[in-house]
Amino acid sequence: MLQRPASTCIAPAILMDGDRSRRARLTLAGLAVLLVGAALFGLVLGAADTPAWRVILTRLGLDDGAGLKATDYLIMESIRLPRIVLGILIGGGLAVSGALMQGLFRNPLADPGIVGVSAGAGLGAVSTIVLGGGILSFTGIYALPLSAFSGGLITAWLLYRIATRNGRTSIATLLLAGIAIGAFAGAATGVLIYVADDAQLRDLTFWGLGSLAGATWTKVAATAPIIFVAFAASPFLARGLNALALGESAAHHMGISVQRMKNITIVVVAAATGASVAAAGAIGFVGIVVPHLLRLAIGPDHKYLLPCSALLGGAFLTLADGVSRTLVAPAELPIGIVTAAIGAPFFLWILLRRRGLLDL
Amino acid sequence: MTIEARGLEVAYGRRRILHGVDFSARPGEVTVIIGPNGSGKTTLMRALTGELTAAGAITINGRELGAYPAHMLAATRAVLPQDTALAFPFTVSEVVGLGVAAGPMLAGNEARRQRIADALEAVDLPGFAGRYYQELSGGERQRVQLARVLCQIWNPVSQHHGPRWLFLDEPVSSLDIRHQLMIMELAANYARRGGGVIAVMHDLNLTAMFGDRITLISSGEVAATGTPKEVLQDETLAEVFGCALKVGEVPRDHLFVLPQAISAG
Repeated sequence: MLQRPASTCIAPAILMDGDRSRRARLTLAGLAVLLVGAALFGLVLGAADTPAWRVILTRLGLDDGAGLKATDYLIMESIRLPRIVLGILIGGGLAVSGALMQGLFRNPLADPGIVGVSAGAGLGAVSTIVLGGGILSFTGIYALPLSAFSGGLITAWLLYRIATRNGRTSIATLLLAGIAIGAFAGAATGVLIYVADDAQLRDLTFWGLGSLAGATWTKVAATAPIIFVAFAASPFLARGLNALALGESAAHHMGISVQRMKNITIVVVAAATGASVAAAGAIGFVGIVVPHLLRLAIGPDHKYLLPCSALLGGAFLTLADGVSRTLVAPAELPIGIVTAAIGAPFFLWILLRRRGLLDL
Repeated sequence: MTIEARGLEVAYGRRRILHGVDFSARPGEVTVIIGPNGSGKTTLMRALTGELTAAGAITINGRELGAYPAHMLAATRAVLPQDTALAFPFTVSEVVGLGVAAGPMLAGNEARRQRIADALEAVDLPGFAGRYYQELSGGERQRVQLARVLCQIWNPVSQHHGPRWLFLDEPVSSLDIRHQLMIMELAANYARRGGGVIAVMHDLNLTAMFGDRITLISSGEVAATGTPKEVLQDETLAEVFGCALKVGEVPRDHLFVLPQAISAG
């Protein structure tokens, strides 16, 4: 066992009794407030000159609505609101799947975007657009998220099989296998784009921007149930993931059905990643940045880490979307560029802090 | 109300690790498993804790091992591992708290906090609750793990389900002499209070000192089993360990084992 230099991986605060649960509960409440704030910020921000506050107050029954036009309501309720809701769902979904995957692989660098699960989900989505929904057609608006889920699930399962042997995950194998699988999925996606016809190419371009721009209530309806299932499953995984931090046999000895818990985690990660990728393309680094910041603030206890990740992920993506809409207004920057610009340096920072560890 | 194993068979591929091992342990006693490297001690332990599935029959407190639901097994026996790696920066109190969460329900935050403090006191780490686990030395980590394991099966006897069982896999291998004695005394005390202790050990003198019963494993079979006086004999040990050992007796009925030479002659 390698001795860890005292300065790595250690949160700054000193705790008297080592119990951070109170701080975690306060953080959870604070993040809920932050999320509401981020949502309001997103609602009032936009290219169109809309009296946003008056529309909100009127809908809350605090204003008589005199002088408001039908287009004001339309902009607020059919363009901005679905976009905010979708951003919250996807941001939360990406952050929770990052936290789950890091718990599963016992490493803070594991993330669906980095190890190729998003690429696999993307391949699933693209094949539905180009080749048609096939057996998934009957599911209507769910065909795209379901195919992305299938692609993500196959990738995550493959990765797990490749990188884990006798209950131990080699993070080097994981990252390298992720590169290979991601490249393969990228190549297959390229072939599909090559054979796509003009109408399909138009769909693909809209889908692949990594953007919340195309948000509609239909998209929200297609995404929300899957993400909610992932959110609902995560509290049941918290104790198992905590125990897993001590290793698989220790988790078994503590009464965790390890194999079942790992299978459920992989399915939940693939579902949340798939639904996100299907709705907004690949948005990177949310799953790395959000859980890591939270571990510094409240510690690694998954009981609090998972719900806090959902809230902070939603707020983070909504704010990043706000930035992407205002930086080059009235045009907008794809949101993937904003999250990568924040996330990539952050990823390098984590990597540098852990450089002393040979078991990376 | 014992642990009984009959005819255990474990093979990895064509290599047989255990063949036909019978084992039993009683509550109120420290049962020590000894044997050379690669003899199958750890495999026997892993079979008894349910970590791997062995052919043969294992019962804990009269109930088939395979018939225990996971959470009930966790409330009946706890295992101190050799490996003390931890993936994320948990505090000492959070690590010990994992043991509390795995054991029988403990109502209230205050009771939980008190249990964690008591367990840290028991392993001689008072005031360590707020430290980061990853900052500790190897020996301190080992003792934090023991505190966690103790919290999982805090009361040696469950009112409804009989004795609880403490499994120790080489519990003193990374500890200094004071803490070796402390951990072994803690284990012996757990047995005195009605629980059962099963320990895999390398140190024959600590085995002689703290073992109530000893099972000597050699090449996947039981070479001898019984009290220290029955098992710790010059010829038996020399044959199994492949080196000359001299068993002596000090006052108060304690045996000691003195290494002689590598050649068994």
